Amino acid sequence: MSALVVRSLQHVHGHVGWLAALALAHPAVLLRRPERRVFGAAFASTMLVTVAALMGALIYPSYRTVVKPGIFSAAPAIGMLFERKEHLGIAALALAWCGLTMYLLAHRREAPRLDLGRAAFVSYAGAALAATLAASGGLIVACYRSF
Amino acid sequence: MGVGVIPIPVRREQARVAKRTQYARLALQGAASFVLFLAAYSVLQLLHALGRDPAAVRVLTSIPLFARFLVSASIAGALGPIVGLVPADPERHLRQIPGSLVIAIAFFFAVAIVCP
Repeated sequence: MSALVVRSLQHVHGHVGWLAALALAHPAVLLRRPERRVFGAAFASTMLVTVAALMGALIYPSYRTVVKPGIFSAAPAIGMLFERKEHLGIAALALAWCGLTMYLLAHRREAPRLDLGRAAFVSYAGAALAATLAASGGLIVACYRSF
Repeated sequence: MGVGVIPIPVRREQARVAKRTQYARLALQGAASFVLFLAAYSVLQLLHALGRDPAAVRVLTSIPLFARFLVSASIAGALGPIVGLVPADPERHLRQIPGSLVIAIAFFFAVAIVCP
């Protein structure tokens, strides 16, 4: 992948990541009332975090070879922050899909709506927290050094 | 006299209960998969921090992060549906899903922050 493509992807990844973090908070807030219908917000936020994660996965091999060694030799704490951010990003992705699954099952006819709505709420709240921490970590690392 | 009318609502009620149980079972299997994913990833991350990556993780790809993700997803995909089949009355266990998720999230966050 050329340097220009990787740099562009990194910028888009950062912006989409922040958008996903904010979007994931939306279903989390709305699902405080577990029986509420929030399909649009749940679906859109899950898709956003998935796109952000896919872009991150595309960039990661280049980051490991180009940027990571420099960061770890100059500022290991920032390097560790990036590693933490990667794990939290994975948590955000998994929890968003968990939330969407629980939400979709909750809104089938005859489904036990209340219990599944609560599970969707916990998942989206966790996803929003993980995504916000991941986006903050990514921003700090990108301010320090990027492609 | 009215005996002939009773079976229809009873059958309908049975179908409703069966559907409800089916969705509860599906939800239990899904939730078990996601909880297992978080738990497996956290354990693999702990092992990585201790320098004891399992052979399956080392063999899979040269990038440990991707390998951990794939192994955790495989464990969750294989075991989650089986774990969800275990309870005889899945609806009774649905109330435990949010609590299990909270514990899995807390464990994941603790491992990610302490052992990056």
